[in-house]
Parts: sequence; C-alpha cells; structure tokens
Amino acid sequence: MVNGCGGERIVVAEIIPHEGVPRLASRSAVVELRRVTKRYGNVAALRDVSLAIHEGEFFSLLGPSGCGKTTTLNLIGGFVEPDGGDIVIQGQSVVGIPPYHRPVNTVFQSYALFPHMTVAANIDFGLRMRGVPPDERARRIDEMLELISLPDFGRRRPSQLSGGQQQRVALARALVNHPAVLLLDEPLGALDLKLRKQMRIELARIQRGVNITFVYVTHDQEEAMTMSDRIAVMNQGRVIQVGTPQMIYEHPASRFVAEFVGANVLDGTIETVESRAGRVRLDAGPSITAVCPDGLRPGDRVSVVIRPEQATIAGHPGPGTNAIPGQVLKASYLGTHTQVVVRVTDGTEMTALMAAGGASVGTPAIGEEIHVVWKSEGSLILVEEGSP
Amino acid sequence: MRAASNVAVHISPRVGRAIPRLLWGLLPLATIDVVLFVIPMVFMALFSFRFSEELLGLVGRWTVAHYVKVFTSEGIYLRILVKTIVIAVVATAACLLVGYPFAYFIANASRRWQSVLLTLVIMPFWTSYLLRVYAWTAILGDRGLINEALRFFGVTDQPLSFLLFNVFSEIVVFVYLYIPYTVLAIYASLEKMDRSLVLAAMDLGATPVQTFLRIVLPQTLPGVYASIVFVFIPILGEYVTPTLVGGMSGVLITNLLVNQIHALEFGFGAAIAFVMATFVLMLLLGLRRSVDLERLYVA
Repeated sequence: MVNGCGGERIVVAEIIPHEGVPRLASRSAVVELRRVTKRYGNVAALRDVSLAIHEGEFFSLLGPSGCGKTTTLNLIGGFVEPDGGDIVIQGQSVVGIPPYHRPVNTVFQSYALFPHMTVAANIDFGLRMRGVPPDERARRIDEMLELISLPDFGRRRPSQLSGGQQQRVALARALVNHPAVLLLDEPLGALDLKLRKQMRIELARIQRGVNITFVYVTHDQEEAMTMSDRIAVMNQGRVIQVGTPQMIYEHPASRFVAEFVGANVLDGTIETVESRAGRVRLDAGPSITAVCPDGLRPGDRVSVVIRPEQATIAGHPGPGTNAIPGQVLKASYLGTHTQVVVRVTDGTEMTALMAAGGASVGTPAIGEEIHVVWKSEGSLILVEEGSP
Repeated sequence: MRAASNVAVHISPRVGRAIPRLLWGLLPLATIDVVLFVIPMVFMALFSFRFSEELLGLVGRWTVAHYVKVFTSEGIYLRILVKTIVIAVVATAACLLVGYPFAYFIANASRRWQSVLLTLVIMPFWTSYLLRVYAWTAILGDRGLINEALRFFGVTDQPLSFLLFNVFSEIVVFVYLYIPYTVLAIYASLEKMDRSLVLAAMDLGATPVQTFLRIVLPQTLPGVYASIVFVFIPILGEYVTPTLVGGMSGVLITNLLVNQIHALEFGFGAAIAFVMATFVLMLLLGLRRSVDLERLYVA
C-alpha cells in the first residue's frame, strides 16, 4: 500500500478532517457474529470472528482478497453455514436458516439481475415472493425507481441499461424488501473510477435516506473511508480492528492496518521512554521521537507509523524534528498536493504528501538526495505483531 | 460530405473485389449443398407432382393426385401421420422430463463428476445405432433380461409379452436413443446461465422450487427448444426403431413411405415425404419465432 496511487491519498487526506464527527448510530446490534469460524477443506476462511453491527449504520468489511470479508457476508446472507460459533440477526440465531427465510438482502458483485424480466419485475420479485399485495407492490416499485433516480426505466430490460444503472437497479431490488440488513459485495467493483466515485456519494445518500443497516464488503480503503460509519479491517480470516474511519486512519491498531490505509511504517528498537514520548533507533539508522503507548521498555522491537500527509521533505533537517535521509524515487504534482516517494537508507519506500503552497521546496528532482522529515506528534509507535 | 464520398469511392472497389472472393470460398459448400440436397429434392418434388405410366418415369402429366391420396385413402395415411406426431410428442416430452433433471444434476456436480457424467451420456454414440436398437429386443423380449429376471424371482410364470413390439417399446427406445441430445442441449444452457441468479432469487425469498420455475427454467428455455429440434424432428423420420421394436401397432409414417419406395411408387412416396417436410418446416418456423423472442429477453 505504500506505493498506492496519489489520488487515493488525496481523498483520504481531504475527507478525514471533515468526517470528524461520525453519525450517532444506536447502540443495539442488528447483526452479531459470535466466535464464528469457517473452514474450506483445510483452509480456515474465518477464525474466531466476533462482530457487532449496529442498527442503521454503514458498516464496511475492509481487507485484501482472501481475508474472509466475502465469507463473512455469505455467512450473514445464509449462502454459507459456519463451522463454529453463532450468527444472530435481530436477536435471533440464524444458523441453519436458508437465505430465503432471512431478513437480509444482498447486492451482488455481478448485480445478478434477472435478464428475462423488466427492471420493474426485477424489483417486484422479492415482494412477490413474500406475498405483498399487488397495489402495495406497485407503490413500492415506483418509490424505489424514484429513489435510484430511474423513474421511467421500469419497462426496460437489464440489458438495455448501463453498468451504473444496473447497479442501482440491483440496489433497488434488494432495498424494496426493507431488509433488516443490506449486504453489498463489492458492488462498485465493475464500474469505472469516475462512476465509482459518483456511486460512493450516491450509495451513502441512499443509505442515510432509507436508514437501513448496510454491510459493505470492499478491498478499497478509500471506498470504505468515504462511506462508512465504522470499518472492520480484516486479514487472514481475522478481524484486526473495528472503528470509525478516523480512528482506523489515525490510530491503526497494527502494522497491517497502518500499511493497508496507506501509512509509512518503519521498524526500530526503543531506546528510551519519557512520558508518552518514545525515542526509537530506526533500523534505517537515525533515532527519532514518536508518541509511545504505555508499557514499552528500552530494547522492545516496535514499528513507527508516519502518515503521508504528516511527512515532508527537506534538504537539511532543522533541529528538533525527526528526519531520515533518502533518495527521491518519484515525485508527482497533483494540484492541491505533491506526492513524493522516497527510498530511505534501509530500502523502505516512504511517501510524503505535501500541500501546495506550503513551506516545501517545490517538486524535487528524481534521484535527489533529501531528508524525509516529520514532527514527533504526528507519528505513532506500534508494538510489532508477534511481540508481547 | 466530400470526405464521406471519398471514403465511399475508396471502399467500394475493395468491397466489389471482396464479394466474388467470398463466393469462391463458398463454392465447395454450395456444390455439396446443390448436389446432395437441392437436386434430389427437386427430383422428389417433380416425382410427387407427376403421374407416369412407366416406372420411375418423369414423363407424364402434372397431377396433385399423390397429395390427394395422402389426405384421403380412408384416412390411413393421415391417421398414421397423426399417430407418428403424437408418439414423437410423447417421446420428446419423456426425454425432457427425464433429461432436464439429469442435466441439472450434471450441471450442479463437481467439475470432475461433470466430465465423468458427460462421458457416460455420450458413450452410447460409440456403438452402432442399429446395435443399440437391437439390444432392446434382448432387454424387453420374451426371453429378455426383464422377463428372465421376473421369472427368476418368481414374480411371473409367463413372460410379459406387452414389453416388446408395440408403441410402448417404441417410445422407450426413442427416449433411450434421443435423451443424450436433450441432456447435452439443456446442460449447455444451464452452464451458460449465471449462477448468481439462483443465489439472488433465494436471497429475495424464493424457495428452491420457486427459483427453478421463475428463474432457472426461463433462463434455459433456449436449451429446451434446441433439444426439441434435436429430438422431435428426427423421431418423425425414424424408420429403424419402429421396424425393429415397434411391431404391428408401432408402424409409423416412414414405414409406409418406405413401403411405397419399395413398391417403386416414387410419386406417392415423395408426396408423403413433402407433407411431413412441410409440417416440420412450419414447426421450425414456429419454434424459431419463440426462440428469437427468448433471445430478445436474454441478450
């Protein structure tokens, strides 16, 4: 993730300060996973996963492919049964209950619209199956077509719609049933970047409008950050951290989370600890100071997390700042920001994201020897995974 | 406009050269088609409209007497023609009823089992068609597999003679012979179907039966139509099966047609053939319309 594209970084940097106050979700859990495990043959897809998803929140499962996020979704939807643990929806265990008896609907990655039915008939399908009276069905279909801004598309076939329109119809087809939880499996994955960005805003708007709990699976941290009330970061079948986007971004619980959200991570050893400030000798050479959690002692192996927008570059570092020498690999002027990728002395690549009009020296030349510098308050010490 | 006309001028000679080249390429195919299909058909058509005093003569007067005979003759030919169609319908329906679930089962099996099962479906084609029909006399006959087994277990002391040489055995053998086509055609359309549609239907509250009726069946109708074409039409022209296992009651229209040819009544034989061909053509046009409709839905 250290080499992630510049555009993603910018949005993260811009959105986070504005998303400072997360919407208050009521505390009652609508979906609960209790110590759920799932194996496929010898491969553990989920290991002892516990999660509580609150009523009305936009909850994202974020992680790389194979981390177990889609398995989690399939377990809630009823397409997969757990090998251990319990899944509770609205206070009732749903283990062993088939998908068609669960108060849950899904937006599939491939949309899975029924090609032999019109848009209206697609949306109608769930209502029909649940025996809703005809006049109410007609009303709710119109309501949904309105909600997804496709009011005159009821008589079209899915094949006559663009990808983005199909995506919205898939959303309407699921939402029309007023599910307790809506599951979304990377629904924007098949769209191009521009449409994807529009749909993020659209999806968040719709979710706030209908006030239905969304469980959203994605591997795109920017997508998760911009839309979610809370995010569960998953890796190798485990939930690594659950929190608001801001919390995940500013206080990553582990090196994995930090790297996944695009932060720079440097390894080192604690030299001294003084009132929440730790002195760390980096493996790359210099000693730096960073915010230190309790309980660390000199000699402990740690990781130091520096977010790209907190780092900058300088020819000669001033006193009192953290600095590490390196060589410029790539410098991209992005309008509001300049993104610089630097290879520091131990070979790690670091990214610095500098605001335009700041005190920086302009776009550096590739190959130039400079220092990456950052303030002590901006960096965080993490205990390395596997150590106490 | 100027640019457009320039383009047209540049392109048209190239197109002009391309068309004869395409025709040359089609020549072998066209020759085969004309020699093996069109010319014989023209001869048959001529036979069917000619009344000649001499055997195999094409000289004589024009007549529709052969066609009149097909539809009159105290209804003998018409009755057998209708009977043939009814038996073909029953056999095709049986093929679909047995073949669809089997195709569904194969399509849902694991990859390895799929190839094993498909091989088993195709296996009968490795042996002679005639042999496969004959084999059924050894299964259904008086001293056949079933009767011997029934006697061995003391269920019957007399062989069940209704098993062979009638419409029943005929239909059984038709189903046996043609079911691979049904299975393959439906399997192909099931394979082509997006599996997430089934998940989506269940997600929206459809039980497995509802999912099948409302999603899977409509999605695989092209396969059903294809298997009707592959099964129904060949059965209409079946000659070997009614001859070998049909007995007296299993006589079909092709048997009558072959009798006419054997008696060198080419004119009347040809007329029977063209009546059947017309029926098949109408059926195909009808099916094609519904298949095209289906394509509109699916495309």
